[in-house]
Amino acid sequence: MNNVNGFILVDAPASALNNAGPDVGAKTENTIAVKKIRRGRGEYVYVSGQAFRYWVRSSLKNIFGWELSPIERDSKIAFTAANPFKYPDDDMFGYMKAIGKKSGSTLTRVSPFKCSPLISVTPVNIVNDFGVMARHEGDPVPYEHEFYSTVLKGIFSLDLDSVGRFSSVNKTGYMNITEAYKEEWEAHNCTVEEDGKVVTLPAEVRAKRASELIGVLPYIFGGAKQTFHLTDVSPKFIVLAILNCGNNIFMNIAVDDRGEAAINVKALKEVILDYQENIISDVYIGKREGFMDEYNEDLRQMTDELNRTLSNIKVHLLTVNEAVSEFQQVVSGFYKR
Amino acid sequence: MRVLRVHLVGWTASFRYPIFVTGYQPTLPVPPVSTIYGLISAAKGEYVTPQDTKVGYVMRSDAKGVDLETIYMLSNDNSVKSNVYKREFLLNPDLYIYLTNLSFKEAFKKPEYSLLLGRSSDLIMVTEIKEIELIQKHGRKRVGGTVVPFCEEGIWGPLQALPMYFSNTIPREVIGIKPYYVLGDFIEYEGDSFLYDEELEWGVYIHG
Repeated sequence: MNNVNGFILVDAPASALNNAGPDVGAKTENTIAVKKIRRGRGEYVYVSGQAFRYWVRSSLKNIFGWELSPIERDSKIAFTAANPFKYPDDDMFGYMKAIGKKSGSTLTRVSPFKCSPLISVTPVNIVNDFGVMARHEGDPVPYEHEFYSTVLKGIFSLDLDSVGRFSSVNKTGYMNITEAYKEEWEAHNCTVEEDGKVVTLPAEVRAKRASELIGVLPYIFGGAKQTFHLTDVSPKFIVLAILNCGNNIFMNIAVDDRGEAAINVKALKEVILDYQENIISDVYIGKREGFMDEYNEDLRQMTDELNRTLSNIKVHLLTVNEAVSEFQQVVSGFYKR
Repeated sequence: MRVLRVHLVGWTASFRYPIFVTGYQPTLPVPPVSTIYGLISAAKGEYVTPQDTKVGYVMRSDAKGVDLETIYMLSNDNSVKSNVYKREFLLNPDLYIYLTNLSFKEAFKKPEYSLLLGRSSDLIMVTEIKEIELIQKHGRKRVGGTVVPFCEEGIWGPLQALPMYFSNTIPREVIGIKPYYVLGDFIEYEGDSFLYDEELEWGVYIHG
């Protein structure tokens, strides 16, 4: 199985990107707490995987004009289309659709795009901010909300083989379509294999969907309390590569260095060397100038060393936008092999 | 006993208690045996059962958090309702799996499917694959981070009915459901039902 492996760092200065609702134990009754995990004496803030997926999905609509699969029930349309031919997000993010026994079984699709939550690299000092609503007549209404300053790490994987490829195997996650979709797949010029058990969209459609999902990364927008904090959630550091297996190799790149978020350049070098046989594309590293600049020299040295050592792959050290746009070409090229 | 030891790490993991269907979703502190067979199957790309390999495992994690999640409840008349519920998850899962069938080395070197520990957001990576010798060590040893079948002498801990593995049929059926001690923490144990990993200094219970 061929997967895009991605690693990102998101800089979150004074942010409250994902909230857990009212803080029950707080002094005031209307304190909104950020999502966090306590470990020992430290607290780690995070953004759920579900929230991050939502950012990616909604950004694909805003940036690339993806027509998202409708969830609301209209008079004659069902609540969720579960139509991966028409809606690229059904294809990339998976779905589940319950169908009555009479008209067939329940459709499910494993999401080709999988992502971790975004988790702070270091323990965080969470600040409790005090606000008032005072624009009305009478007493002002006080409220509180928490926020933090930290660097969040996240990883994702995109199963390139299953993008635009739908099966009707009666197995949870793989019963993507039924015979009822025949008109749909014929209209989209799909390739039909194994007696209609596997239906594949044309290569250019698959290439477009996969490369746009990668291409949206520098433009992702989302998160709670953006009116107050306006956090730029696009990655400031990114690593991208295609692997021929399901290992998620970039999990140890960000480390806590005495309370500061740090890039473990040695660990990054080590995984690229260790998995060079599994990495089937060049490795693209993107870094925004001004973010963790103390690693610029180490990253450059590592890139040079790897490029001298490795014969089959190259490592590119670029800006985030350059890395992403060059990698988009690599992903598109994958389907044209 | 010669075994294959695979070390996997991740950022988050969650293992649903089978008895909680709706509402608050607590997580087990360690995975059930069926999760381990699921993980091996994902690596191999094929259905793997106790007939293919026996397994032992030790899992630790740093902390437990609670996430809020939106779920969509679907019904047959095509109506949908959304609901928000609380789901527990574990931070920084650190898992060692021991396999008696050494031929699984290749599967973990090049796993077929993306490796997950719980749900699709719980991505994990293989950090080490090693052949080691598990020895029989008599006397006191540290054991934990695993589940042990009920009635094993000298073991104590919370009990939970858990599956051993699932069938490959449609729909899938649970096989080998039985009560297990859930050893989230380590305990001192004197018996001989555990083998011993000298390097990591803990006992390993082999299932299957």
